Parts: sequence; structure tokens; C-alpha cells
Amino acid sequence: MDARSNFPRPIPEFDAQEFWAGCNRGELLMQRCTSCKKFRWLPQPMCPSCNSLESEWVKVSGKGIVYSYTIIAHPVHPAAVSRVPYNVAQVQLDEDPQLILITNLVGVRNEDIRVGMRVQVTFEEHSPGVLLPKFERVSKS
Amino acid sequence: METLKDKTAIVGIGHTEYSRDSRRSEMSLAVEAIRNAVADAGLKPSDIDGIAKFSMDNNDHVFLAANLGIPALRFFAEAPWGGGGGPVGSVLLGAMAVATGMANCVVAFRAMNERSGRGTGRFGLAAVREGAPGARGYLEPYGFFSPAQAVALSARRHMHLYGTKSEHFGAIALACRAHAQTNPNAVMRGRPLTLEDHQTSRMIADPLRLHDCCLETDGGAAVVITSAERARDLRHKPTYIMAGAFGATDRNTQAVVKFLEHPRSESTVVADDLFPRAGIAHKDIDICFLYDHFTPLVLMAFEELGFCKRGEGGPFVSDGKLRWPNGALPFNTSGGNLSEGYIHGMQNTIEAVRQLRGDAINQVKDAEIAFIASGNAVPNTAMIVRR
Repeated sequence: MDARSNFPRPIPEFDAQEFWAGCNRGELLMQRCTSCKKFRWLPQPMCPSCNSLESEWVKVSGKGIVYSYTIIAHPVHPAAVSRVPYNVAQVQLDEDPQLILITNLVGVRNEDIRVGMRVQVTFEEHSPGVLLPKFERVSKS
Repeated sequence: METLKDKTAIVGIGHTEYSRDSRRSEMSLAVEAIRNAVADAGLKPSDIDGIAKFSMDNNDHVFLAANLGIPALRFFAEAPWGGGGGPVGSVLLGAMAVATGMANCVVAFRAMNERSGRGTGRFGLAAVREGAPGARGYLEPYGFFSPAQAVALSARRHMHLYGTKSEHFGAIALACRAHAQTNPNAVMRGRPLTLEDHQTSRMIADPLRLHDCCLETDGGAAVVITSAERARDLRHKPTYIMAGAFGATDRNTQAVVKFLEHPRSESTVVADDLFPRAGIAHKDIDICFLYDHFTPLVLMAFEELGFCKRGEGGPFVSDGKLRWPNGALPFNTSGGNLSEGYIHGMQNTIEAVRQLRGDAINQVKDAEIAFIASGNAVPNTAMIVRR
């Protein structure tokens, strides 16, 4: 595929492999320290709280809120030209206020996005064999 | 405690033309800026024995020495995160080398042809590749690439938490643009900006508008640092480095997005060290230079550096305080990255020296002490200098 036609796909390597393998099974996994049980994001080899090198990947609820968002108008990548305006959001997961992911919100109009909106993970195909965690609005009912 | 206080001074400043398309090599821009700075000090390039640069700068220390005819290069270093983090960090590396006797006379510089894009590449354009490794893999698949997009997320959060308005961001852009109108070297001279212009400029990444973003510029800027003792015999009144600080935290990741509720940031770390080392308080600062890559991060820098309380950056910047000649805290008086030219903030240090020498175009009356900070939202470096 021409690299200009789509946004880059993630290359799972080293500390990132478990996360992307989980996505391809439809599971949102977060890295947690085996010793002190604190979550961390981005994935990294050492726990900044207790300096343990042991960590585990834990399936989380996938529920959270929109921490912040932007509607991107100026395309800086060739694949963005046909997509602007599109949203990029930060979602703060319920498990820990420091777990803030960069993602896209799907199934919601850009003008209806609000900070604090309840969202839940869903997985969308980026390219063959690559699922990306994105988030959709949780209905109020 | 042993400190850097008043042991070193900036004794020379120099730059090239700042332009939108220089059609020159980055080496050519670098050596011209350095030659001008060395001449301003009343020295020769062969007097230089140390070179400190931004890690992002493409010019090699040793090839520079070859161009400049430096017979014995004793010190070479670069400031990490040398985009936003470099403009003060590289100067401080030079000051530390001089203070410890590693070198006698160090030049710190930045030279880039960002606008014509033949060197660093344009920051406003994403690299095109099929796969994104490491931390980029969590960002680029979503179409999240540029610093402006990251800043937009922090800006929105600040607006949500504190009621900050786009007009507050505009006050920063307007101050810089007004200051550039009298600066013959400013790229934006002759193009004054109104708040309406700001508010109707095209959206880049909502809530960030065009005029919230710095320029893309070609050019070079350099300063010369030597010992306080030697400085007294040189051409100009020395600009003494009272204190310097580097700061980063465990929140500085490649995403360059701030976690606004966190009590500590790269800028709070810098401020916590800097003022005690200088032995002064914020109220003693006569003039302020903050790295103005994007207006919301300038507003947040004022807060995190302790010039106002968290959340009060909007009102703080909006009462004319930053505007020369009548503002209480004149800011980026040559136009800054937003309106003079984006030489990665190094031109702010040059302007601080002019102000303290007393020969700036927008001269702040009786300016004695200046505060200069590098980029916010990346590992920060900052210093306090005096005349």
C-alpha cells in the first residue's frame, strides 16, 4: 500500500507488542506493575513508582471520558487531505486518571464532542490485520 | 553550594537575515551567525574553543570548527530535545564549560532552513511512512502528527478547566506582532495583527488558529559565552548569567501533550531551581522571554514558571502587561518566534542581551534583569541574566 494513502500503521516492537496483540483480539490491555499494581501509559520497561521491571498486561474496562480533543483542519499528511476535518481525542480511562490515550472518536459528529463525554472502546480496522482501539459515545440511557 | 552565579557572561551576539526561503545551506547560515557573534564580542573565530548546539541542529561541531578555523576545539556538546529545549540549554552548556575551565570561550548557536525545508524538514508536514515504531505507533495511526495538534489538546483542556478563551491566546500573538513592527529583521514587519485578524484566521487544529502558531523561518543565531573576568575586557557591557536550570519530569513523553492537573511539570522544575540559585524573586524580573512556539503554551508557561497562578494565565496576559512600552512585564520585545522569525528561540536570547546593553529597538527603560525560558511541554531550560 502506498504510504501516502493511509496514516502509518503501528509497528509492534519490544514494549508495545502485547498491547497490539491484544487489540487484534479485541481487547484493550494496559500495562500494570506486578509489584505495586500501578497502571502506566505509554508502555515502558520500568515502573516509575517502585522501579520494578516486572509488569503484566491487564484487560481494562475500556470505559472512560473525553479528557480533551481537537478537530484537525490543516492536513499535515497526504492521507489527511481527504479526511479533514477529523477529530483526535484524549480519552482518560476509568481505571486511573493518568491513563490518557490518544485516539479517534467514532460514531459522533465532531460538533457534538465535549470534554467529559462518556466513551467506550471499540476496535476499528486500520489496514488488513491491524485493529486500532477507538472510542464511541456511551448513550445516556 | 557552588553555583554558576555571575561566573560567566554573554559577550557577543550575531545572526543572519531571517527569511522565508534562504536557498542557503544550514552550514552557511551557522557560520555567518557565529562569525557575526564573535566579531560583536571583539574576538576572532580562532579565539573560540567550544561549540554548544541544539541536538536538532544538522551542523556538525567538527565541520563547523573546520569552517571557522578553530585550531583547538576543547568542548563540544548539544542540548537534548534541541528544538524547544535548546535555546537556553545550549547557552548553559557553554557557561558550565567556561565556569569549570573546560573551555575559555564557547559559542552556542542554532541555524536552520526550516522554511525551505532542505535541512530539518518542515515541522508542519508529517513524515510519510507505512509504519510507525515505538511511541509514534500510539499516535500516528490516528492522524496525530504535529506539535500544533498536540498543543491543541492541551489548549482545549486549559479552556475546559479554567475558562480560558481564544482571545487570551490572541493577546500573546498580538504582543509579539506589535513588537515586530519596529524590528527591521522581523519576518512579520509591516504586517500588523488585530484581534479580529487572529479570531478569523484559519483553523489549524481547533482551538488552535493560524496566528497561534510560530513562523517557519530560515536563519542562524549565535551567542558567545566567556568568563566574567575576561568579559570585562571585551567590547560590550557583559550580560552576566545569574542562574540556569534544566527541567523534565516523568510526564514528558513523545506526545508533547501536557497533563494539566499534575502539580509538577518541566517548567515548575525549572522555576523551583532557578529563582533560589539567582537569589531573586519574580518581581525582580524587568523583561521576560518565553519560547513562543504556540500561544497556549506561552500562557501555560507563565503559570508554571510562577509568574501567575495556575489557571490565571488568560487574565494575566490580557491586560496589556506584555506589551512594550507600557506593559509591566514586556515580553519577547523583538517579536519572538511568532513574529520575528523562528530560529528555535535563540533570537530571544540575542534580544535579551540587546535589552540589557541598552541598545534594543523597543528598549525597556532601565532593564536590568531578564528571564529567558526555552520550550514549554518539552524538557525545559531557562536562565536569569543581568547587566
